[in-house]
Amino acid sequence: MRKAKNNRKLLRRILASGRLLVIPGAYDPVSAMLIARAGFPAVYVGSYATAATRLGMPDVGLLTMAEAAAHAKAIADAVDIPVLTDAESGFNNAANVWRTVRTFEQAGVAGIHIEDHAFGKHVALPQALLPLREMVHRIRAAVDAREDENFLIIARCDAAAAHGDIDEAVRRMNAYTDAGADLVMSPEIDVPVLASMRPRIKGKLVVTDTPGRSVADEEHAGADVVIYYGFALYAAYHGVKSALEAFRRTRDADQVPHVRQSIAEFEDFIGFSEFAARARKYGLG
Amino acid sequence: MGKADSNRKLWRRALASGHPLAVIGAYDALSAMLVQRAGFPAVYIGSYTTSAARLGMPDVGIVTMEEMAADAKAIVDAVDIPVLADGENGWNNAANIWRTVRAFEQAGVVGIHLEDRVFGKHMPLPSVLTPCRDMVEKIRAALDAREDENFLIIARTDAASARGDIDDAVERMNAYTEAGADLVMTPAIDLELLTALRPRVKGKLVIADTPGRSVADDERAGADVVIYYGFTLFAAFHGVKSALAAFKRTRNADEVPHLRGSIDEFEEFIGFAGFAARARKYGLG
Repeated sequence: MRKAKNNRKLLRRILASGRLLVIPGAYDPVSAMLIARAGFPAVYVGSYATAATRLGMPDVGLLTMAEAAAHAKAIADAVDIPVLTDAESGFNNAANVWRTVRTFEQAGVAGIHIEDHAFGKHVALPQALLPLREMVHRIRAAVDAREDENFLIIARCDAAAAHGDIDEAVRRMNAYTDAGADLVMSPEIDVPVLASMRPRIKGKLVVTDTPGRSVADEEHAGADVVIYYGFALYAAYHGVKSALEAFRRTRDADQVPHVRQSIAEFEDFIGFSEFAARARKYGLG
Repeated sequence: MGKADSNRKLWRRALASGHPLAVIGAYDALSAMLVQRAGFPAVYIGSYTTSAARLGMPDVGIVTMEEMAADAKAIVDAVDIPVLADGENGWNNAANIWRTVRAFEQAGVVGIHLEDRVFGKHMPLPSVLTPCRDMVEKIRAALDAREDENFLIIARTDAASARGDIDDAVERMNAYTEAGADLVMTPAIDLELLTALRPRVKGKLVIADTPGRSVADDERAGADVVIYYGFTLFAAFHGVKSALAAFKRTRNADEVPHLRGSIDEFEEFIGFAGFAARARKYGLG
């Protein structure tokens, strides 16, 4: 767990530096490795991408804690940079959330966010939030449960995203900070709203990216961390879909751009030559 | 297992039709769903893509049988079309291979290929093949182990691809067919070699796609099934890599082509609307 411990310290140092942290979401180890290679400082693993790629399902609460943690572990194992992970609503109440914290900590990630959204995410249905008091206890229990004090507990509040209730969002986030959360998070809010509520929020703020906004826009509005949760997933979705359509049409993979031309680069990237070197070193070649 | 039973029958009928089947490799549930939507008749799941997408590792014999079977099951669960899986060298000897066959059958795939390669795939290292006699026993054991008689056992020889030994490849494939294999397979084989070897091979022949060739080329050379094992992985690799490079450069996701523009289409594709409908039907909305 040396890598995990070092990465947690590294992430805390980056956060303390005051630089805006842009974290693209990965959907698997290859996309996470590409994020690391592109020079981003951290990788995000969220239920939105994991539900899609592991289960082929929408992000509507179907993914289990064990599935999310196993996927996060596969990604943490594959990269050297810190991995930040989505722990949904903690998958458990305050009395049992220790198991979620322990599982993600053992998966080697740098931290998790736990949200107060109880029902209705990503869909046009009545939204339900956990009562504030219950969420405060959940955050306290999560903070108590961590073994590594540098493991980040991020308290996510969906009051602004779900109900557009800025005052409630501010009140809740500050209560979560008082309960010991390392950072707070308010997803899916546009830049003007973010700018207006930012001065009232204690501590560092995590947001998610919004179409129409650049990193500079998010930085000016006062975000400390921006999670691009669907980034790699959308790129892969479009890339795979287009390639399949072109192949279906031409029945000639040579005419599909960037597929066969990527083979040599991919094999170099994924590490075949390191295996060959180990094989030779240990008498297998 | 109604879906698995009917897909195995469907696959056997498709093979009997005489048209070559282009089977496209998926690396996760989402890419498999895209293969299905593009109109291809079947999906393939191979160790090449699973090593990369699940472990971030090259395909050098590191994926376990359980990992492959679990990934195969996730893909089977996500699509309606037949899924063909890579059973590597069976992970077991002839006495224990029943467990591998059972695991993949329970995963719901239509069949697996089992290969005589023991070491050196994808590598400039000395290749090791299982002796023909041992491989024949493995095939016999695999056939004995299946519960559904329509579950396909495909016997793969790497004699041609590993050593360029066409005579040995033909001799082995015919021995595997005589042992009861439903199909035989010779991957990564040059078009002229394939054309030369085809008349001497009994039964239906599976090959892997090769750069420089179209489906029509493979058909003329006598292939019955062509597995495009890396197709979606290479497309995703290129798509994610290019999108990250563009984002790193512009720091504005709006300027990354096909990324935010794909969100609505993706969410429709993955099935958020189905969840909303279930929620309303059962009193949650």
